[in-house]
This record gives sequence, C-alpha cells and structure tokens, in this order.
Amino acid sequence: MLLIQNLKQIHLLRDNRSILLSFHSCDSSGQLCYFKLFPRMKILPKFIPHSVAMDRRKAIKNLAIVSGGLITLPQWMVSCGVSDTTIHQTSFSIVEQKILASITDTIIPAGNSIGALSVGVDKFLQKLIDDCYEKEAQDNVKTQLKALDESAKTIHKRLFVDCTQAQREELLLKLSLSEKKEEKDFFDLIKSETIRGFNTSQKVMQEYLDYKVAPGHYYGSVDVKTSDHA
Amino acid sequence: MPEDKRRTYDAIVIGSGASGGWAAKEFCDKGLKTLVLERGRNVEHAKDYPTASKAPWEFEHRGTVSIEQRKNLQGARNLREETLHWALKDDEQPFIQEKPFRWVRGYHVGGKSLLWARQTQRWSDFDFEGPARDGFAVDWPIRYKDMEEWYSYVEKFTGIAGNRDGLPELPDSEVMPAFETSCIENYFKESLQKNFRDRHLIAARCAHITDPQQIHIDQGRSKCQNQTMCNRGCIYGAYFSSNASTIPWALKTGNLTLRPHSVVHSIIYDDKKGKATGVRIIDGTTKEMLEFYANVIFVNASALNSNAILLNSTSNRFPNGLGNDNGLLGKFVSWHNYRGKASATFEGLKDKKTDGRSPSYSYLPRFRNVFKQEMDFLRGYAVGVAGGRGTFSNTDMIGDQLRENLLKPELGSWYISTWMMGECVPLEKNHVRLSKDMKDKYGIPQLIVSCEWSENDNKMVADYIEQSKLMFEKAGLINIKAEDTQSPPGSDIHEMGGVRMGLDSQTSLLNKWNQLHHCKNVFVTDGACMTSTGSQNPTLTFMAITARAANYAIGELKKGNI
Repeated sequence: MLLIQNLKQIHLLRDNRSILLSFHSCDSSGQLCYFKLFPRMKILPKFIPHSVAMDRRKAIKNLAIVSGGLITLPQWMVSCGVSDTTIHQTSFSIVEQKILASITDTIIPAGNSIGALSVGVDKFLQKLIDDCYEKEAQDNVKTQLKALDESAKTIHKRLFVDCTQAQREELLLKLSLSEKKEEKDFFDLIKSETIRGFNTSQKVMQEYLDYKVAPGHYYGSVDVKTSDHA
Repeated sequence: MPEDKRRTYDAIVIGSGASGGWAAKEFCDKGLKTLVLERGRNVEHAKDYPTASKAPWEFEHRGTVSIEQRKNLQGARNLREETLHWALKDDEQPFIQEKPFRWVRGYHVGGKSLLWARQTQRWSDFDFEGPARDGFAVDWPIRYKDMEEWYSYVEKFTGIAGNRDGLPELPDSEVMPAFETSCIENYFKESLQKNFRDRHLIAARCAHITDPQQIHIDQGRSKCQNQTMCNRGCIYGAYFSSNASTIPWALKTGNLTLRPHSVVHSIIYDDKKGKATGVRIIDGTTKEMLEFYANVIFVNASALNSNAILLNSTSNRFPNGLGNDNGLLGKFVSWHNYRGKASATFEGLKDKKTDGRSPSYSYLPRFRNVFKQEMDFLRGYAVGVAGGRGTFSNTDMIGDQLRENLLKPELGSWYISTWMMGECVPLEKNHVRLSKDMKDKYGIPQLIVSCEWSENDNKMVADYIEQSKLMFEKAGLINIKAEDTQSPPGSDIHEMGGVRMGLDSQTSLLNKWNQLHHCKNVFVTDGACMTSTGSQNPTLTFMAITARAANYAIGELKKGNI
C-alpha cells in the first residue's frame, strides 16, 4: 500500500476559512507524487513528475485509499485541526446510527433546554468508537445496538427509536444491571462517553458551566453566592 | 568559501532546551557566531503550537488519541490530543532499560522547556554543602555565593512569579507578584505554622510573567492569562521556554544558526591540538554524517543524552569517552524521588470557593535534615501542595435528572493533594553506558540505563507518607490517603549527573566552570553536570549554571586560553 507514510515535505496554507494542504509523498516503490488536499474530501493529484511518472491506475487506486479515510496524517497536522480535511466514513450503518442517536437522547434528553442530540454527541460517539476503541469493543457496540432493537421489538413491539422515553430508559437500565459483561460494558461505555461528549460540548461548557479558555485571573478565595448551588 | 569554513562557528551548543537556549543567548549577545544543534524538528514560538488556546470541543476525540495515532507511540505515557505534537516516536531513540526507567525526552527545538512544570526554586548552601556534610558523592566545587548573581541574572530575564519568603533553605528570587494560593492552601499553611515550627508553606515560585517588565516586552512575551494549557505551548509566551525567550532573542542578534534535525553522534577530539574541534552529526532527514567546527562546545543535550554523546566521543586520547580518564563518565546518575502522593478533603470553609485557574500551587521546602542530620535517612524532600474546590454532578441515573445534574453541578468539598520531591543520593552503581551491539536508526549505540531505588529512597517515602498523614490530621482534614506509587526512576523527569562537577579530576569530570577537566573547551551545563540533586526543581539551577559557564567561556576565548 502507498503512501503517506513517507512525507517529504508538507505545506500548510491557511486562507480565511479553509485549510489547503499540499504534500509530496512516496508510494511503496519510492516514486514521488504530489498532492493537494482541499478541505472536505477533495484530494487531487496536482503534479506527478514525468521522470517518476506513476502508473495512472495506481495513482487512482492510491487516491481511493486516501478518500477511503485510511490516510495517516502526521500528528502535528492532525492536532492542528487539519484532520477536518480527512474523511470520516463512519462504520455505523444508518440503522445503527439512528439507534445510537436515540440512546444518547435517552441518556440525556433535551427537555426544555439542551440534550445530547442538540450538541452532537451521537456524531462524536461514532467518531470516537471508530477511531479510538479497539475492534473488540467496536464489535460489541454494534452487537448490543442490534440486540437492544430486538429487545424493543420483543417487549414493546416496536423499534427502539420508536419507543417512549420511559420504555427506552427501562431497556437501557436493564443493561446496566445485566450480569452479562458485554451488556454492562456496552451500557457503561455509551453512558460515560455520552456524558463526556455532552460536558465537553461548546454549548454546555460556555452557556452552562461558565467555561473560559483564558480566564485571565485566579482568585484563591472568593465568597460563594447563592447562584453557585452550594 | 570552502566547505569546512562554512561549517565553522565560534561556538556550538548541543541542544536547544532550557540550558542550551541560555548558552546560545549568552554567546550571541556577546557577538559569538553560534550554532545550535537540535536533533528534533523546529518549533517556532506560537506558530508551531497547533493546539494552543483550543477549547475541549475543538478536539475531534475530545482529547483521546486514536488507535492509528498511537501506533508508533507505544512507549509514550499520558498521550492526549492536546499534546500529541510533542510525543516521541518509539523508533526515534530506543534505549535499554537494564532496570525499569522512564526516560522522558523533548526532541524538538525548545526541548523540555516546552513540557516542564515551570517551577523555579533556588538552591541554598544546605544543598551545595550536602555531599560534603553528609559524606556522599563528592563536594560541589561551587557554593551559593558563586551562584547568587547568576540566579538573579537568569530570573530577571526569565520572569519569576513568587514572594520573598525570607527562608534560609530557599533563598529569595527576583520576583513579580505570586499567583494566589487557594483558601485551603492558606488554611493548611496556618495549621503547619501552628503545629510544626519548621514547615513553611509558600506560594511556589514559577517561571510565569504576572507583571511584564521591559525585558519581557522586549522578548515579545506577555502576562499569563491563566489558561493552564502550558504544556501545549503558550501563545502569550507567558511562561519561560527557549522558544518564547532565549532562542528568538539569540536569533535577533544575527549571530545564531539554529539547525534542527541534527542528531549529534559525537564530539570530535583532535589528538594533535589536544582539544575538541567540532561536532559530528547525523542529519535526521538525509541520514548523512556531517561535521561542524568551533572553538568551544557546550553540551546541553539533556542529562542522559549528554552522557551518551560524551561516551560515544572516542579518540586515541579518550578511548572510553571524552574526558573520561577516571572511568566515572556515566556513573553517579541520579534523579528525584516522586514516588509519594497524598490527598485529603476538608469539610469547612463552605462559604468560599476559587475563581479562575492557577498554573501554579504551593510549595513546602525541605524540612528534614536541613540544619543537621536528624533522621535515619540522608537528605529530605520538598512537597508540592495543590488545593481547591471542585464541582460534581450526581450521574447515577439517566434521563431528565441526569441532564439537570450535569447542567447545574454542585460545589464539592475542599480537597488538597500533595506530592513528594525527594533528593536522591547519587550512587556509583546507578549508571548509563553504551550498548556494544545495539544501535538506533542513526547508527548510534543505544544507551543502557541501569538505575534503581535505594534503601534511603524507601525510607524517605515512608517518612513522607507518615508525615503527610500527620500534617493532614493536625489540620482536621478527612478522607486521608497517602501512598507509595512505586513509579520507576525517571518519572520525575529530573535525571541528573553522570558528568559531575568536582574539585578533583580523579573523582569528577567537570571543574567549577563546567569544563571537562581534560578537555577544557568542552563544557557540560545541563542536568548531567549535577554533583547532587537537591530537592528543588532543577531547571533554574541548570540555567544559572549555564549562564555562568558561558560567560566564563567567553572570557577564556578572549584570553586565548581555550
């Protein structure tokens, strides 16, 4: 396989809104190619030096690998936000995505304010589980999503997503008390990561938790006000 | 110009961390054409801090590092998206742990000055006189009076937040206003004063700018904004790093050449001239071996790597490593004992809380064996003390109640947590040496690290645990926990020694000016030069020793002595 393990040179250009990335790279046979990455999906080979002309078909295949999301960017690119340019193809099917979304909505429903869905926790979970969890844990999540839907059908004669909040809560809490490790692990993972996704979302942090990137001060001892819920 | 002339400088500094940056600044300020060799990539201040000032929601995995990204980072600990740009790849410099050792390295321009805890406590003569008084290692060839002006010199430029506490065991620094200490820390301080006459809890002194002076403005640095995201790199340049301070300062003189991707292989010794003439590097990008030449060479590669470079610098004159006539090079390696941790909570002071965030905390200077030997172990430990009042949400349920709890967290009890910073006594058996058969990808022999805890360290941990409990109890704290984490040597990131200073060339490698006794134009001024370790965070002392040695070297160059 190609490709971007052998980065020769990377140029990062920022214009107002987007990040334009270009890099030289070698394929497995040491041939040099030159790519530009445009934000969101577009990866175009701009120039392939004649002297090391790369087989056209190979180039296309390489591109397919890139657009399949297998690209490995160097750490500093990922961590400076360029990772937005990589393509995350979720491994979750549409059905699985819907159940997962419904679960996060059940754990933290919006009520009259905000909930997990309104701050995008479902999308965060998909990405987190795909990228950061080992295959075994990923597989268990999918197995349990399916099983949960089956339980809903058996007990309530409808899809999980069509159950009422109370029914969905009951189905989930049953997993939390399960003696089956797979069920308990699934519940614990989804619940703790849903809480994390919610608590670290911009809306919750800024509008409810008074988070400031740069507070500009530290006072070691101030009076507690009634609004502090002490 | 011929190739070798183009590669000739007045001075070469190996390493661009806190001490190397200071050497570069001093040389460039005094007009010496200086080459700084850094084995890692370049890191330009602010521009190359990709995660600086990012909020938690701006990280795609909210901090968790993906499996893909972890692949060549199996040896790294505490990997986070926020600081992933500093992580050392497994294949960069494998080393052999003859005994468990945690070797934290900062291989990029700025080195560990971008990763440090920024704590800057001065040494006193209770530290410099330690080996002589207590009969271990060898006597330091310097005393506090030799260092005092250099401490002041680097502190003014670096910027230190702290108080003037008037403690003989922790001499005052040149300070700007300290960060406030928390309500619980103040309460604990009072309790210590009442119950233990000799235990003075102070606001820790740290390299943060709280009141920028002209010298800091001239560096382009500004006041701390309390982001407490320091270890990602600080766009305000509020804390001291080579990147924010000494390196750009040196570059501005026009005298500095900074060469990243330069993995130092060895120092070149000329048998005929009887001195070192340059440095051999492997270019990290092309893997080509190159030589650079200079009249004076400063070794600031970080303690263990400085040892490795000298050990690998063999010649007819020095078959066992540069300056190593007595066979002590690489021996008496030491570090700090950070094994102990303790915590407790307090049910009082419910009408108070903290506001904002502090990049610092409180510091309890060493109180054991300071004025005289009184315990059944040598030396002692300082204690870091952090206290605050967090918030919590009950998350036992799911549904509407969970949301309400998360959106309206409650104030918890005050907590306090402490960690020990113990002085390790350097022992000959704790050493590093080069492998005879294993090499890294640059063809440089791998370093074997053979360091272990001693009975003295174990006793000190036990005393810390006992005293932590006692101090907490006397203060009326509850939920008291104190433990020996059993962390391996090196976890403190304060490795020192191996090229120690001393009065006698039979028993030390460096003289009182940090020159190799047997190769006077090579100076070692990073942690490797340390004869003993003290209990203070050592970087301030490395910087002061470096500035002192660099100015001495400049004088010696002018006199034609080296």
